[in-house]
Amino acid sequence: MPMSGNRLARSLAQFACIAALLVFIGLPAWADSEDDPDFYLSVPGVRALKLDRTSLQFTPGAQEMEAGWTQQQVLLARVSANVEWALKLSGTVGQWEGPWDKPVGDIHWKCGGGGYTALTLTEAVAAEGGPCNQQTVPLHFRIRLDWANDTPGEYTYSYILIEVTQP
Amino acid sequence: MKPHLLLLLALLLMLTVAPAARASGTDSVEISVTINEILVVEYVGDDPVEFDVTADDLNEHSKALINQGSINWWSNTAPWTVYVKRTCWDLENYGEDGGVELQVKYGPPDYDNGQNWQLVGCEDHHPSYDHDGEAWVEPYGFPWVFSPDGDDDGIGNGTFTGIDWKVKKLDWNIPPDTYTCTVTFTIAPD
Repeated sequence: MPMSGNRLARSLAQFACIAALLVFIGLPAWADSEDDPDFYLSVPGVRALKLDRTSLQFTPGAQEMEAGWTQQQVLLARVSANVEWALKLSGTVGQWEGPWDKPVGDIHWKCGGGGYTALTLTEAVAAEGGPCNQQTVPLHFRIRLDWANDTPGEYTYSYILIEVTQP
Repeated sequence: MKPHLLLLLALLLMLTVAPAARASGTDSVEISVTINEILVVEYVGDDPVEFDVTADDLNEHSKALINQGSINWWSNTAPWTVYVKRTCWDLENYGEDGGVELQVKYGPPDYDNGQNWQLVGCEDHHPSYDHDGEAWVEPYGFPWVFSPDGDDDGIGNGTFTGIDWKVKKLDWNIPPDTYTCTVTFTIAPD
């Protein structure tokens, strides 16, 4: 049955009211989600390491040969972390490259006031700490020498792995 | 599972894993050692070595001082030789170098058969008695050479023990005085 004119006009008025209500209620809600976003900051545990140089060069003289050790050299490791950390060292190969198979254990290191420790292929903890920014950790190195074995030549050890990881 | 859901899951996993990968720092350092040829020799003993010459010495034209010191050596290369030389005697009024010879020997006395004495040449290389200007000490291979690794290969360190000194060609016509010279030991690769 066809809708009468009055009834059609009333239906259109109702639709207009509902539409107006939606504009008043719905649009501001939509506008809020677009213009005022929430911020989410996810901070992971981060540990960073920086060494002050990438190689150490030793040229021992007679006194060092006689002493059985090179003079020590210091490598500065700078640690930045927002969590607990441990600085670890390890050798990567068992022997040096050179005139003979000089063992990795001829590299000795220490951190702080303790005694020297022979480098091995197993990780050793040199230092530990908490959150810090550019904390300097001095690593002292010296090389064992032997008159009879260490004949003249170039000896290279590539390389010592230094990591800062979780304790 | 739909492909776009898999992709979304992978992205989520990447976002989850990436911070963990930054959770540690790694670096490395290379170590190199340059070992040059190193040879060292030193004399250990009385300094100065004093010859107190007597009438008997003048009559016999020589005087020896036995077991006066040692020569220590260190070397990471071989073969090598220890050379001994001296300055000339300060005999201003007694001809050219005074004609007095200095000799050196090492080893225990039983090796003293008269053949082991070596002439220590004057740096001026006086031609009348010193044709090469240097005495020498055998680097290795002699039974009295001490080598720590036991193989007498001249690498390592050791000692020439029992260094003896002798002056020869003493004569009554040498004016009374104190005469000096300086002896130098050097070690060099052959």
